[in-house]
Amino acid sequence: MTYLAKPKFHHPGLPKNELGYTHRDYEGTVSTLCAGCGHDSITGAIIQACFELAIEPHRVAKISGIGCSSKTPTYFLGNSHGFNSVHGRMPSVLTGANLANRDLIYLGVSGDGDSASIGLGQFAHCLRRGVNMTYIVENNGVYGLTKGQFSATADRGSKSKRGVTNTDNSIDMVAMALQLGASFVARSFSGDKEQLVPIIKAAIAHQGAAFIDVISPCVAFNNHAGSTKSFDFVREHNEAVNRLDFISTRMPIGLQQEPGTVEIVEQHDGSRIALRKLDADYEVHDRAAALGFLQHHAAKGQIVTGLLFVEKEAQDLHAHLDTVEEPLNKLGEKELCPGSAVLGQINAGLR
Amino acid sequence: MPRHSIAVVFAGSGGSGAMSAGAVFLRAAARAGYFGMMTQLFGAQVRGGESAALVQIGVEPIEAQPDRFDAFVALDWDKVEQFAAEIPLDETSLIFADPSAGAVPAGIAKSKGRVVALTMSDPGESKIDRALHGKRVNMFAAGCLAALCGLPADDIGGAVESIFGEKGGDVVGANRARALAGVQAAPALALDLKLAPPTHDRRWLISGNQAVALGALRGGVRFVGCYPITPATDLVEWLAPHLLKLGGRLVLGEDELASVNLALGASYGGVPAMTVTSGPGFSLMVESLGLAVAAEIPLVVIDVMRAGPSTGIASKTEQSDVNLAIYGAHGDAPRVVLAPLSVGDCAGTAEYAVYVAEALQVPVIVLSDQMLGQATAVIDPVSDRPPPQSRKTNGAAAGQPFKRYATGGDAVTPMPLPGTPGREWVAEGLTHNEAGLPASGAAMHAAQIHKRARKIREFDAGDRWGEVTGEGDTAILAFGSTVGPAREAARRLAEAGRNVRVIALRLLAPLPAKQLAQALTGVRRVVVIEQNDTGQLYRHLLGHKAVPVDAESVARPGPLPFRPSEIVNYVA
Ligand SMILES: Cc1ncc(C[n+]2csc(CCOP(=O)(O)OP(=O)(O)O)c2C)c(N)n1
Ligand code: SF4
Ligand SMILES: [Mg+2]
Repeated sequence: MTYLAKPKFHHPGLPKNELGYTHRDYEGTVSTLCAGCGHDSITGAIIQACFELAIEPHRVAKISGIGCSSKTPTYFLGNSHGFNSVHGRMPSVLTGANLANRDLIYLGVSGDGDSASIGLGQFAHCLRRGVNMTYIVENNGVYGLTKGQFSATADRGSKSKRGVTNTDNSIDMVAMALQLGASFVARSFSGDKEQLVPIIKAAIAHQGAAFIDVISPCVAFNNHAGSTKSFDFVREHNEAVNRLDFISTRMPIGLQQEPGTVEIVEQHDGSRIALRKLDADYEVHDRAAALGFLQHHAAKGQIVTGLLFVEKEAQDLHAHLDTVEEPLNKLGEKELCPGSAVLGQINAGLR
Repeated sequence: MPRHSIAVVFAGSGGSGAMSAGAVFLRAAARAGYFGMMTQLFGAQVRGGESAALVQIGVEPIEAQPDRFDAFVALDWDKVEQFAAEIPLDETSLIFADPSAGAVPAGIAKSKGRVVALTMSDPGESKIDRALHGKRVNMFAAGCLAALCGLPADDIGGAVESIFGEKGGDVVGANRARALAGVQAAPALALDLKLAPPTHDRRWLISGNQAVALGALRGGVRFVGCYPITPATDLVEWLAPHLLKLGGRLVLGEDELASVNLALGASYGGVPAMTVTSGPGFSLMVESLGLAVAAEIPLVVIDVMRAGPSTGIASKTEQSDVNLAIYGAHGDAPRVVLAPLSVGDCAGTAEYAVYVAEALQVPVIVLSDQMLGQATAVIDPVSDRPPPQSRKTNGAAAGQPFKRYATGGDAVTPMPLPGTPGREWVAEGLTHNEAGLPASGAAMHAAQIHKRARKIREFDAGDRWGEVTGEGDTAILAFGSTVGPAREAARRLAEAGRNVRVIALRLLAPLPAKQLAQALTGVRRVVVIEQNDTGQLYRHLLGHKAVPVDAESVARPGPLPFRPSEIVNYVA
């Protein structure tokens, strides 16, 4: 087994949300990711956001691709629906599901490899279509699951723990999302729950294509410490069995940052990233300005986090297609085939 | 003596209207009560290039291309010679040409067919009119040939109206006038091409691609994800407005990777879904065939096969995707593969495909081909029946966690609509346990593989597995567009006193072992006919011991269709 069921034990004193659900009702099985993995913090933030929003779990469909990040839906919303698809294809599966049933809340969960490398086309087209969803990329710049090769979001000039330098330019998914017409675009950091939870809540509430790029350090492959060899060895052999007995003492990177400041964050490998948190008076409704702001700071080597853009009157794919309110999967024989009359007409047309 | 059928070719350069001539000729025959079939040949040019309409009409259903053509009508001689190899003519063929078009090219003349001089253009037409509408020699030719075959002028005029009706009164009127001028010119030619009297029934004029679309709609498909590709595009074009009218959705994906997954997502969401493609797109979809198998999601994939590999010949037929349809995917990924037996059967087979996909929660692939898909035929109407949908959405006791992939009992397990409270489940492409959670133990892996294999094994297609016609201890086994020529060959052999059985296989996978064994009782010689070089179906049948080890294989690549004479010569 590659998962551990959590004991179903409800402490009577656990706080409940307005629907009477506890935090535990939004959890999944025990994570098997490396201890300290940024993805686990994002899992926590999603659980927190859904708990606080008092979402009925059965109204959520979590759709994912393949990668450590795409495994995380097993670790949250254990009482929800979902589709764990194949590498890079989450966006099209989500789009199809959404067109069949517009009544559910769609959470797309993906990684930088899943969405910026193999699935870049699908990522782009899904945003371009304006599918009503919350699309989260857990961005670590590497293919964590396949042991740390550079993904398409890795910065040019960065070094892998094997000493290879990345010579390709990186893809900034936030800039792409802005350019592609996503109606809600944000970037956050896995360690900054105070920022991330409200962003996820806002994205779920947003009726349109919401994209969140969450920087999420990979403790295993941003790690150049002396224990590398044995670490690798364990991982090499780990995939065939399971991950449970892999223990790391690293702690997730935590961060509480004041708005409008720049903070230098030291990663597990000792490398540093500079995060600029948006000012409190940042104007979130200007797409062009958001792109400029982003690129201006990128040129200075700073990664901007926060809610960068939100469209005031967002429209989703159903509005573009002018579909009826009733989900397609609920339309019965009667609505779809009015007395088989239309089919009858088609038949008659062939005579 | 009146003929039972006649085969006519209308050919010409781009803009000469060869296809319209064929369409009018075929529709006039249909209105008059005859059966018929028309296929199309195109030159290498993408648009507006030379083309030929190959039409056969007759008193009985027509399912195969003829061995030879009785008449070749040249609307002009521009680049038409390139079709010579695909249009067999002989010394009894008639070659109709306007003397003003120049000499008959060598490639056509070498047939030694008799040349019939026919002035087709309108001498009274003004220059402006001619520049605007072309010479309309095509309508003249269609009218003349139709009249020679004995089709009533009313039906010829009516055919012009129904084909050009949308273009407005002027166009219809001018075209009808030229067609009727052709009718009047017929008697002076003193040729006897008259057909025997027809049987009058209400019939359909439909292409294989349209029939697949119709069948899918009747089966309940309400979502289509696709990406344009020849020769499947016209299927989708015909389908789209009808699907929308029925409340369904069609989304053009950015490629076939997206298209197949859009359909898969919609099907997961509870709507019977389909994707439509041809070889190059089908290759891209293979990844998600495996996903549909593993996650147990119903999916209908229509592959209108064309000549491959790679881009191959986009507009021409071949039956070479059999291996990919049956075996394409990594891992053990059993699925259902169906092939229609004729243009008309495209409807029934597609409808059945939806039914099977929904009932078994598996991908079902329909292997049509360009020959069937783009042939237009007059067929007996497909009987009306209500859409037979039967996805199992409930049945198991609710319990936590809900066991979407339970392995103990029925191999087909309930698949509740996402959003159903108390029945939450995750569709999972990773090996999973009964509750749908990722698992990697050997026992659960085997249990889930066996569950999916059992669904396929226990599936019984009953009498829909295929059709047997004729008797005799020689059997020709065929599928798709080779069924028609095989049956025509058997008919001729029977006329010559030699009984031959034709086993037309609709269910290619899983092979219907029981029914095939029954169909083969008393057979001493089996000939498997298919249009690919490696004998893909033959090897599949041998591998499953579904035919005797001494079965013979007649396998050759496309795009030339099998002609009945080719099969007669081999079998006799
Ligand atoms: C078609 C295909 N190719 C390759 C793989 C192997 N693979 C699995 S996950 C992955 C990369 C995942 O990277 P990312 O999406 O960034 O996820 P992370 O593990 O970093 O969270 C690769 C290459 C696969 N599963 N499928
Ligand atoms: S390999 Fe990296 S991304 Fe994957 S679980 Fe470990 S830390 Fe997380
Ligand atoms: Mg990654």
